[in-house]
Order: sequence, then structure tokens, then C-alpha cells
Amino acid sequence: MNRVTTIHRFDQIESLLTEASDRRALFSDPDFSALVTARLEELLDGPRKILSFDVFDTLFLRDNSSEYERFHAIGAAIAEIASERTGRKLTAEDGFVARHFGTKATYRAGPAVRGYREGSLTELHKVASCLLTGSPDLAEAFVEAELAHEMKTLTLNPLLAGIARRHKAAGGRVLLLSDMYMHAEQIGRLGEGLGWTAEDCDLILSSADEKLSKASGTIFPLAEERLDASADAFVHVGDSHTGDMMQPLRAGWSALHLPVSAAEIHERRASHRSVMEKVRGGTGFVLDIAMPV
Amino acid sequence: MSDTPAAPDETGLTTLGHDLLGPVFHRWLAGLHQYVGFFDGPDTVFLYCARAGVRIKTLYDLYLRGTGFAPGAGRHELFWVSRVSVTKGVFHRDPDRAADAIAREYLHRPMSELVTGLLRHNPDYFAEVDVQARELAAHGENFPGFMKSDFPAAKVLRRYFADCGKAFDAYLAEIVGDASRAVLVDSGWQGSTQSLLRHAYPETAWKGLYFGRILTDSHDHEIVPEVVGLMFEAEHYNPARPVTALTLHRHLVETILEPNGRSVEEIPAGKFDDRAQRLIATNRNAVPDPVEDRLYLGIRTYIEENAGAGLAEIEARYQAVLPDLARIITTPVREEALALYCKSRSADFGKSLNVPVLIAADDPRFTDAHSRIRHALWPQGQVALEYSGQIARDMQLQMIGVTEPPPSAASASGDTAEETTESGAEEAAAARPPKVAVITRTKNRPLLLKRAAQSVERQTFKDYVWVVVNDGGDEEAVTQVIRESGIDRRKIILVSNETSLGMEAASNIGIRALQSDYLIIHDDDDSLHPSFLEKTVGFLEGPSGRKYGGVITQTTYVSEEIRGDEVIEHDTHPYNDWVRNVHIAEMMTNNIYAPIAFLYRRSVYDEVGGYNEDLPVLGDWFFNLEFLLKADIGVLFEPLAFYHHRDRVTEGDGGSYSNSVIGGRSKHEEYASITRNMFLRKYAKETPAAMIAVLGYMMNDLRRPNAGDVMAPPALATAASADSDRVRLIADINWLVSRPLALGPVERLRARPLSPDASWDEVDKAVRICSRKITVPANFNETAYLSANPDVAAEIRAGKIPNGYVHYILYGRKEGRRRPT
Repeated sequence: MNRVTTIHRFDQIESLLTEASDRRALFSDPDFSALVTARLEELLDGPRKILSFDVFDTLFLRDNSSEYERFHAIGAAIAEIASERTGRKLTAEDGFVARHFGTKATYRAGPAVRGYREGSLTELHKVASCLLTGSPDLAEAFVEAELAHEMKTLTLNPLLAGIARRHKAAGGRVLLLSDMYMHAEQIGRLGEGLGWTAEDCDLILSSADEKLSKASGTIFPLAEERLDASADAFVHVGDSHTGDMMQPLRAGWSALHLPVSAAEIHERRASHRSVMEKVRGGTGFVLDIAMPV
Repeated sequence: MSDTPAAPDETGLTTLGHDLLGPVFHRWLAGLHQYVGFFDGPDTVFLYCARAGVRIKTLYDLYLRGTGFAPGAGRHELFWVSRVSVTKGVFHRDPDRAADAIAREYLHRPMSELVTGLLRHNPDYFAEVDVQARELAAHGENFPGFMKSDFPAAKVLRRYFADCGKAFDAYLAEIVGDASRAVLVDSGWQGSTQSLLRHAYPETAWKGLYFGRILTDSHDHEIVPEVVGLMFEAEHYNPARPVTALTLHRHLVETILEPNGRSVEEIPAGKFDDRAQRLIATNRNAVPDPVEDRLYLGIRTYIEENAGAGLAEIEARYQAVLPDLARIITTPVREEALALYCKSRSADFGKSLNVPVLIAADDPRFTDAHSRIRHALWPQGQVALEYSGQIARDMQLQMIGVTEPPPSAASASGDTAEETTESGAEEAAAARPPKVAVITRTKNRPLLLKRAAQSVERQTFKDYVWVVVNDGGDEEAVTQVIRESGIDRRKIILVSNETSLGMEAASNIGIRALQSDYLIIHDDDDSLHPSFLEKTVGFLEGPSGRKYGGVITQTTYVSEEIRGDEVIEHDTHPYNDWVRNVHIAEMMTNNIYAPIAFLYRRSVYDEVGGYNEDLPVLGDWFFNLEFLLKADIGVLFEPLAFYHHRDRVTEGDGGSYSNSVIGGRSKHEEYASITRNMFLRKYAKETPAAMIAVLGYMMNDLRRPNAGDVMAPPALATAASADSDRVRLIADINWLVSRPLALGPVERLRARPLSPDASWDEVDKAVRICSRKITVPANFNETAYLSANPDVAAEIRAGKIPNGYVHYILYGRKEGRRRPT
């Protein structure tokens, strides 16, 4: 019997990213850029389609600090603001806990749309302000502090920004689709700081505003409605397999998965453990912030 | 309390309230402030529900005073209600719900008691009722129907409820005022009062902030998202989350927060105001008892002493004591049980009895230790009073379903233990091969392969690789299905044979394409419940499964046909659901489970040496026999596998979409004996087990007329019995729930999977939700049923019920109607 057997894989781009020691460097690599560009051009098939990007860890690349580290640093910043404005003695860890409690409250009790809830940075810091000062008055200052910190950790993805601008210049439309607790207006401001202007995209949709999300699959029909286009007109790109690949495909969109590299995840996990141990050693508590995966 | 088990002062643990519970309640107050901050605004009123609300507000005021915070923009009011007063107050707006709530409280008590309880503060109404009336001897479960009757007592109650309604409208208008949002603050647990208010006064947004959230079967699904448990939301104790130990002893929180006043069963407005004010006064003026309220007093002192502590300190102290709290609730010794005992719970809802948290040995109502343990509100504590040492500890652990007591504070890190991970463990996991290789053999069946891809994609367990073996079919068609699937591209391998090598060779070549710990043959026409891998891998890696080489789950047989580009499902029923264990002798008679139900260890596959490539069919059976010579197979009693059959194809349309079992019928018959003989030739000399298998086969063959007939249609002729209906419906419903498009949007939201041993009550509820999708089984004679029951036929014509079988399940069987077969 003729036993000619061949093995095929379908993950060239995904595996290059997974195995990259520095994903940001890979996005500047000409060979990799050509590969991604070709794949997206194949999916877009001209300017009539809409190019949709996940925001954080896709169009805006993060450094490899963990959430534990970032939220602790933001906690320190808001505690400092609260101390200055009210004269109360507050530690960085007080701010860290307040921000964490704010996160829990906004995700648990925020308004629901069709049974779905999502967090809101504005609501989060309203709670943090109440917990640290007894009033919501410092919420806006806390949000500014958080955005300022985020700016320090983000860079614009040169490859995807370039593809988006070319697509737009050719008459195509560009959409940003985020499952973060940041509102569209806040994402827009972060983008401006990174060199991504309002003219670079047609619409930003954030689950913080809409309470619908990519992870639940509910935000895709909303994007179609807002841009007056059918599902097959969208090509989505993002780092989350569930929210940026599986769910858009289920919605009838095309999708390209650009995962975070194993080395980056390793670095973020190290950051998580390091800050967690430092805080535990100093104060004795651990917050249930998920380990990066 | 005369039935207090022992004087707590003798325990030597009198500082438990301060030292152990103080930090826990302090953290709860910070949590309350967290959500007060979230909801605060001029449009919001916070209502502290009596009676617990009295102490909650006292403690929260202490917290605020300590922090120096002023109350926010919202109003904070004591809400002088009880469950019974709210139920009476909303009766005029929502009589069905209110009547049900009352009936639940008096299910098995005579209605004379119910009426007496409801009217006990209103002698004027009560004087009009003849409590000896015959109709009041009926049990409380009849109350909703009774309230629609013309019996004199029903008329009195309707008038009373109408007056209560006017008073309650007035009270709410006063206390809620212009607020569009009312936030109830109470001890717990599932928002019964919130539910009544939300349905009766929908113009107000009702939210609830409770110490914890514990849902029971009777909870209101619609309000769950608005019922916030500040410290936990759980129905059971989870050792990874120590605070959930309070689900075992929620009365601890309730008794601590319950002032020594009387339940406010009347509405503080209108004609009931005077009576209500007298009840309110008993709470306003209640003085904590130094003995019975020692835990509360300890907590209050702790809050006073530490009210200025920062959030970080509050959190750290809470996490430090939490493991000890969990340990003392789950496995207390006698002294600890007594120290954590406050007082008996006073029953509300118009009742006068006290409900014992712990029961004294001389309590005449309970004659033995077993009875006392069963009736105590804190059974683990009662065990500590009845027994000591290892016996007590073993009983307590058995009650909570664990083998080891929770870790002490010294070795745990608060409530976040499950979120922390050991250094490097995940990296090591990422570097190793996947846990599971899912092998799918396919040949020119893209329609079915697409469904198999969805089955794999929806697995909740993600540590797998999907190996598709294209055995001589169109490679492009397979590639197209892969490209369109939502499976992570890094988890897919396509092995393509230019020409077909046969089913068993295809399995072997796919399995050998990569390393993994576990294997499953997921043929392109079968499918899995999303939790299949999660549960089977969990089983084999857990203490019960380590002794097994593999595990099967219960299976649902799916009868279907292909029409054009569509798969039409006709019927589902349990497949070989009599399998409770896997004997090698029984396996010799027949292949008793489908490959799709079987997850096994690769090490056993390696030992066996792979699938027998000489067999064109039944290779899986031969492999199972060889497998059983090397290892045992466990059984999970959940229908998590779906074994699909195109068993309705008419002559000539089998083609590539037919099953090997159906389409290759003659081959299966021919190879059944060849397979057995081959097995014996290979193993008879080597191992006595093979001969034992033969003996087993002969015995079974003699005992069961159909044994050995591998082609017997599976379970189609199952005898009609109540239990087979129940089992079949469980399988059907789980099948529907697992299929995202099988149910409508509303049904999808309400339907939940059933456990394999779900009760008839649970099955009934699920059938009501999915009734339009329940099909008539082959062993139910629909025509005969409708002919014998013209009223049912009329209901079907009127669109009230989808078919006779659903009527039989929901009503007919309870009404004694015959089940025709």
C-alpha cells in the first residue's frame, strides 16, 4: 500500500510570535512584517473591508510589567494624590487595595446591557476615591494618574499602525475594539499620546461604554450596526484567542490571532510573583489579581 | 435561652468575637463602604433592613466615624420591615408571588396556624376568623388557591392585605421618596425581600448588599445579578476560598447581627403604625446581652479600636484570621463550638418558635445525637458537642466533603489561595507536550468534520492538540474546515494520507504524530459536551481516577440524517446507560461503549502497541479488549459524549456519510467473531485473563439472548419505565443545552445542564423550559395516548403543549394516566 503521509500546520505567524524573545522587535522585523502583511492583504482582499484591531497588546503594545505591578504602581500614585489633597496618611498599599476594590465593584455591580456587565475605569476610581477620601471628588484625578502611568508602559505597534494607515489611505475603514475597562474616549487619548490620531480610525468601541464584549461575542453585531456593514466585511486582529479569534469567527468575521509570546508571559509572571511577594512581605496580604497567561 | 448547651464563659475563648471575628467584620464594613461608594448619589437611598439593619448601621457608623468620612449624597435610613411585613405589604400588587412566599413558610403546617401567625398583632381582624373552620385544617401549601376562594377567612385576609398594601405604599413613598434607586443592606442571603419589592415596585431600581450571597433552589433568577454578596457568593464551602466556610454556618452572621428586639411584622404606617412602632421600639431600645451577644460586643469593640485603620491593614488582618475562621467553623472542638455559639435564631414570619443553632443534650425534642446533629443549624458544631477527637473530626470532614481540615493561618494566605501559583509551575507546563491529543479520522465528510471542529473548539479544557487525520480524502476540503474553525492554530496538526490506510492505521498515525499524556479518538461524526475533557482529565488526575488507565462517560445516542448540506437530528436517547463498570468478560461479548466516550492514558496505548491495523472494522473493540488486559477503565456517570448515527438512511444513500456501524453492517457481523478469535489467538497462551474473558462471554451469551450481537440497535427498545423516561430526558436536555442553536434565546438563558441523577422535580423544571424541543421517544405511543386522552389532543391543537409525551411527563404520569408503548 502506498503510504505517503504528509504533516501540515497552520500556525506559522502564531508560532513565530509565541516563540519570539521580543515580540515588539518581531513586529519591526521585515520578514515577519511581510508575512503578516500578506496574510492581512489576503483576508482584506482590497479596501472594501473593515480592518478591526484589538487595542491593548495588539495595536498598543504593553511592556512586560504584570497587572499586579501596574496596579500597585497606580495605587501608589492615587494614594499620593489623596494624601496631598486631603492630608490623610495613606500608603501605596492603601491605594492598591482601593483600586482593587474599585475594580471588583465596577465589574460586579455596574450597569448591565442584555445581562452583560463590563468594568469602567471611571466607576472604578469613583469607588477608589470614596474608599480613600470618603467622597468621589478625586475620581477624575485618579483616572488621569492611571492614564499617565499607562502611557509609560505602551508603545504603538509599528507594523499594524502602518497597515492600518495604508488601508485607510486606500479608502478602507479601521475600527478599534477593546474589552478593557477604559472608555473609548480614554483609549483615544492614550492613542494620541502614542501617535495614533483620531484620523487613523473610524470608530473606537469599548466594552467599558457598551457593556458588550468580544469575549462574550456580543459586541460584533454592534460594530456591524455602527459601521453599517455585514459580518463578512470585517477582518479582526488581536492577541486573545477567545475574544479576538474564536468569537469573531463565530460572528462571521475573518480573524488573525497575534498571541503574546511565551517569553513575555514568562516575564510578566515573574513581575507578578515579585510584586506579590514584596507586598505580601511588607503588609501580609495578597490580592486576587490573575496571574498572566 | 434555657436550651443553651453550656455556659460559654467556661470555654476560655471569650475573645473570639474581638480577635477572630473583629477583622472579618471590619473587612465586611470596608466592603460595604466600597459598594455604598459605588451606588452613592442623590438619586439613591440606602435602606438598612430591620432587624439586622439596626446593628449593621451601628457598625457602619462606627466605621465611618473612625475614618472621619461623612455620609455621601445618598440618604441612609433604617427600613423597618420583616419578610412577613413586606409579603403582606406587596400582596395587593403581586398576590401570586406573595401567596407563594407565605405558602413556602407554612408548607406542612395547618393553615389555621398560618392565619394565626399573619394576624397575631391584629386582634380585630383575627376575631373575625374561625380558626376551627374545616378549610383551615389544610396545609399551608394550599394557601395560593385558598386565597382565591370565598371561604370567610380568605375574605378577611384579602381585606387585611388590602389595608396592608395601602399602608406599605404610604411607608415606601415616605422612605424611598424621590429616589430612583433603593439599596437594601442586610445580613443575607438571596434577596427574598428584594425580589418581592422588585416585582411589586418595578419603577424603583432595587439593589441588595448582603454579607454574603447563598442561593437556594427557590431563589429569584431575575434578581441574582443585583444581589451582591460583599464577602462571598457561593452555595457551598470551597476550601480554596476559606470565607465560604460561612455557608456552613451562616447563622453565625445572622445571630451576631440580630438585635434582641422583636420582628417588625407590622407596617409602620396607616392603621398599623401604632402596633409597628411598639415592635420597632423593642429594637431601638434593645441592649446587647453581655453573654448572648458577646461576639457582637467583641466585634463592636474591635471596630471602635481599629476604625481608623487603612485599607491595607484591614485587608491584611482579615486575610490573617481567615484560615482560622474556616478551620473553626468546619472542624471545631467542643470549646470552640460553644465559644462561637451566640443564641438560638428566633423564627420570623409570624412564628413563635426558636430555631436551635446548637442543641443541648437534655433538649426533650431530640432524643439522640444523630437527631440533634440533623436538626442543629450548625451541624459541624453539634458534632463537636456530641463527639470528640478523631471521630468528631472525621464526621465533620465527611460532612463538608474533604479529607483534610483547612490549613491554619500559618500556612495559608487568606482568601486568595487559589489565585496564587507556585513559581515556575506554569512555565514547566508550557514547555511540556499537551495533555490531550484529540484524534479525528476523516475522509470526505466536511460537513461532519465541521461539527467535530466545533465540538473540540468548545471544550472548556484547553490543554489539547487536535490531530486531524485525512485518510485518503480531499485534503483541500479538510484544510478549508480547519481554516474556518475557531481552534487556536497552534493546537492543530493535519496528517494527510494520500491514499486511505484504514481506520486503525489512521488512528495510529495520528496518535504518533505528537506526544501527549492522554488520548481520545474523536471521529468526525461524533461530538462531545464542552466539559468532557475537563471532567475526564480531572477524574484521571484526581484521587479517584489514578488507579485507572482510562475513563468513559455516559453516552447519548443521536439518530440523524444528512439532507443536502444539513444534518437533521431526529432522536436522542441514552446509549448503554446500564454500564456502571467495565469488565473484560463483558467486553468480550460486545463493545459496550463508543470511542467518543473514552479518554485514556497514552502509556497504556504504548504498552498495547497501538490499534490493530489488520481489522477493517471493530478495531476499537479489539483495542479495548487489549487495553483491559493492561489496565482498568473508570466510569463517569454524566452523559458527556454524543454518539451520532445516520441510521435513517434509505437504501443507496449511505455513501461517505454513513456510519461504519450502520453502513458497514455486514462487515461488523462478519468481523465480530474474527475479532474475538484473533484476540484469543494472540493472548490465550500469554495470559489466563484471555480465557477468563472467554468464559465470561459464554456465561453472558447464555444469560442474555442478545449478548454478542454487536449489531443490536442500541437501546431503541428500552422498556418503558419512569426511570428510563427520566434518564432519557436528562440526556435530551443536556444535549439541547450543549447545542447553542438548539434552543431559543430565552430558553438558552434559562436552561441549565442536569446532573445524571437529577430528580424528577429538576427534570420537570427543565422540561417546562425546553418543552418545545422535547421529542417523542420511540417507545411512547403518541397516537394511542392522544386517542385515549382527547383533552390532551385539544391542548396540543390549541398550541398549549407541544406533544402528548411532554404532557405525559409534566402531568399525565402524576395524574395516573397510562403510558402507552
